[in-house]
Amino acid sequence: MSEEVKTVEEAPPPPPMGIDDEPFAELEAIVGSEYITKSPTICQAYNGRGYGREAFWYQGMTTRPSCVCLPASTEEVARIVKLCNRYDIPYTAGSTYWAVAASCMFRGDIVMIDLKRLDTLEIDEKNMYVKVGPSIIYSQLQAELMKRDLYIYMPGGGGQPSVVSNQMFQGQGILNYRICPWPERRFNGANWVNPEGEVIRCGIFMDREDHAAYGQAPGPDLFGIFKGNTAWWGTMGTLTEIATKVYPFQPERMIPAGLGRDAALDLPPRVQYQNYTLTTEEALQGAMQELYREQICGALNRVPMFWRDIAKAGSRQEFWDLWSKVTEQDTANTHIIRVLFIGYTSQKQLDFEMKVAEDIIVKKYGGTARRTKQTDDGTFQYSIVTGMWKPTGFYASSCVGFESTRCTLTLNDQQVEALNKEPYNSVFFEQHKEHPWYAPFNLGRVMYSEFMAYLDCEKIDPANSKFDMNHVGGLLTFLHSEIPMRVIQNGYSNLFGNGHINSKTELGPASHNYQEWVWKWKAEFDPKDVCRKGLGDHMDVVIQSAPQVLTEEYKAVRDNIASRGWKDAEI
Amino acid sequence: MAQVSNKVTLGFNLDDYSYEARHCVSCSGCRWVELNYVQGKDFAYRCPSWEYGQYNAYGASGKMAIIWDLINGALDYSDPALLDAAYRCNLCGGCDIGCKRNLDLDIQMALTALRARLVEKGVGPMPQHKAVATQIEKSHNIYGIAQKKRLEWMPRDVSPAKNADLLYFAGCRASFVDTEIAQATAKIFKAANKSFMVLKEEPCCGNPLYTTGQMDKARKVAQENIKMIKESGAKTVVFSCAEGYRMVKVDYPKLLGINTADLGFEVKHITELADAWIKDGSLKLENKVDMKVAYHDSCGLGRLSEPWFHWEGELGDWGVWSPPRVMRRGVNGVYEQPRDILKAIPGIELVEMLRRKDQAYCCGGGGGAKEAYPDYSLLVAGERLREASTIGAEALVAACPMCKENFKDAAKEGTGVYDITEIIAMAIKS
Repeated sequence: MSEEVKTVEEAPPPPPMGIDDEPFAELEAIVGSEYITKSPTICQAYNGRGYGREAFWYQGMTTRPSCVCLPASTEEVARIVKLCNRYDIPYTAGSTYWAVAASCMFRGDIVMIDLKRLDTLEIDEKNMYVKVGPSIIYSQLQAELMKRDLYIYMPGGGGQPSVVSNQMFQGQGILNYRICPWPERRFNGANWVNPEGEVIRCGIFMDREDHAAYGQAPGPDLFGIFKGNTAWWGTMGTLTEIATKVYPFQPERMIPAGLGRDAALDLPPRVQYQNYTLTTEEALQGAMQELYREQICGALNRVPMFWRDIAKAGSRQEFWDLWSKVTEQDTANTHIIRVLFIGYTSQKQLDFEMKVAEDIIVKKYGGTARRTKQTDDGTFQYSIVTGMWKPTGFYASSCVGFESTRCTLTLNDQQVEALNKEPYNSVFFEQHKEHPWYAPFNLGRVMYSEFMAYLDCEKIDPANSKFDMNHVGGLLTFLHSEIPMRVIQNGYSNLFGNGHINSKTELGPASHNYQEWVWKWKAEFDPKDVCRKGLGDHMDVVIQSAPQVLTEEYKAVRDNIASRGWKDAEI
Repeated sequence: MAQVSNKVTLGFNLDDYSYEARHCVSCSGCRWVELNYVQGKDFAYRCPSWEYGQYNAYGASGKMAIIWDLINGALDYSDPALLDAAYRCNLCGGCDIGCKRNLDLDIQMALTALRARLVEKGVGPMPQHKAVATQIEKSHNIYGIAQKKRLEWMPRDVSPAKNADLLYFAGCRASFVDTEIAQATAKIFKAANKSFMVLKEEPCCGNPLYTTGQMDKARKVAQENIKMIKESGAKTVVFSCAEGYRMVKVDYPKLLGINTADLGFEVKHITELADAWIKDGSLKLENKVDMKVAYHDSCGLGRLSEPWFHWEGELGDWGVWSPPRVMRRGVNGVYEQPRDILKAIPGIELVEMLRRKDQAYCCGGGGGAKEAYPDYSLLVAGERLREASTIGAEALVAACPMCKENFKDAAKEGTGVYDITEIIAMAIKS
């Protein structure tokens, strides 16, 4: 298999590079000469990676844009987009460059619209919503909200993503336990520059004088169009501002303390963590389900053992010292649930909920309360997600999304099983059959899960002497056959990975050919195909250049479901 | 595509940082202050270069992408923007400790090696840095002033010893321009009844050469100065300048491929000694100094001051270092001593900025920025002063002449800017 994977040299020739002088001069007239450049050095810094995208970077599939411009307003963004349409120049937009969809480019003629200067932040305390521009990150917003006894969820990806782009792409975090996890249902409005450069003001951003429908939110359907053709990666037009709901919090402040890796927020009395160990995974799941059925707690999640070692380890070296001592027996016997209690209304509420949790976890399911630090560095303002790179320098989330508890937990079991068979067990980091992290959202109505497969970043990096095509092949087959097969077998449909982790074309037939629908929308709204050109289809490109990563077993399952429907398929 | 080696020496060869260049994941930990310390929309950046440079190239993650293309031969060294991105930066180390929160990439060394490479290629440093280098070569100080004037700062009532365990190394700025700092330091020695000596012809520490990538010149200065210090018989070299302090303590060993412990003498900042002297009763601070102050952690005294451990080895499987390394994450800087001193002074009310200690925002002056980009330096200093004023501080206290100078230049009328030695001197009963 691995030897058949095409190398970069065999890939089709790259598309045109650079930008002509005429459109560049016009862009310069829009933003001012101080805010535009085609310096190759400056442009190279937008050659994006992270979150698994570095695999493309290593392979030389991504490149730098032709120029970068920094508009100061929605109107300037609109003028840039119109110009791109007029000249047939592809463009993309980004803001804080953590959510890499915007900055991971596969062609060298793209105009990069850096939205860094759009930094609105207005909080309507009374009505509990915020207006926020793309360059504001979650930690900034959360800190401002907490001064006003309000809060918003913090994405699992960290406090450093743009609020706007994260809400477009995912909008999930541990604190979604009590908050609806679908960001579109939290929106109060948006300023949207559509792919042709028209400014559409929705919801709260409408002009009260001119619109009878003033105040109407964009609604889930229009939001779907914003999200665009990759479903979860915001490829349709550009949001220059959104308004989104925020939520009431308890009144006492969290105080930052500590240096370096020990920096954390000291929790006030009405916010407390408690970790419990259960003896089996079934007991953990049972306890978790009872907790959310009782509608108590502020958040809860399963903690994989290697997370614990990541948190303890000062360095990669220390992580391996710790993890090398862990056995399959340890992971089989250790099932950790982390429960966050928040006395939203009073201390009495917190005390009551802790007693109920104790009854469920300890008395009923035989769990043991562990000594737990009363600090936070992962939920409210910071998220330790970059620590997830610590063990190996690279991980790929093979399945990210939310579904029913049954569906999520079944898929988790199957992914653990898949990771432990050849060839994956010789390619990926040994997780000792550890289950991934998962957490109930919306008081258990859906279960979030993210399965992370780790491998040595240098083994998929052709510049390194350790480069091994078996690792590249193993990674791609795992992402494009092994897990998608189980995803569609289980009817796991709310997958963030469509178009990001997995190929839309390949998964489409087994998912009601939804990709044809999104392509039609794309053609309707972006007739010149200039908005983030090719970005939504890059996994399709990967598959086209390495079709052998699709196993016969996967193809049989996919075709069976595609032809007979999920319910009737023999799977 | 260039093939990278897994054998690495933690030094100034840019090719040794290909792991950093290739495996940075653009998480932006280098740009934002430790997120638990973010206090709102304002003052959220840790990186002044990225804050004012606007484009990604001014942040460390952008620079890592640039470094890979330089190593790989895919970028031309002649692009003027490359020089600008590399030098419109204070090398303050904020990005490095941001990365070491989780990923442990050697960002600071990679950025320093980038400047060294630019010098090797003949495109760096900036013309202003070359001018400073010429002054140092000609006059052994950054100003080009005759060395015989070097000790003119010495107060008449202070007589340095001919031989003493303590050697005070005032540095160029405190010797020629910010002489009040050297004078206050001498007053502290005297009040604590500690005998100290000075070098007859104290040379430049070489920091302006090192930070701008002129490594050969900096190495020569380091070798000469170490020899001179050893010949003086001093057991401890004392600095009131944070940049000089870390230059000798950390960057000389880097330049020479040795550990700090192998220098052959101890390196101390005056705040470390004064704090100890206050605590053991030999330095008494009795005068009341009625002032509400914020303390600014100078980069050279804080996150950049941890002892250096020379390392060369191999990146093994999973990127694990062999042999194991001692990591420098900025947590062992001199943070508490200056604060304890200020708290010990009657009348002083110390208020804390949220960007403090290892998370402190740079003054904007260091790394050659003040010389090459004075406007940028003033913007950064102005931002720090604004941060201090929002917490009600009447004055900003630093522990480095470079910081004081830059703050002074940026301060509006009425904003107090002091070096900590001056505050201590005020509290000493004459």
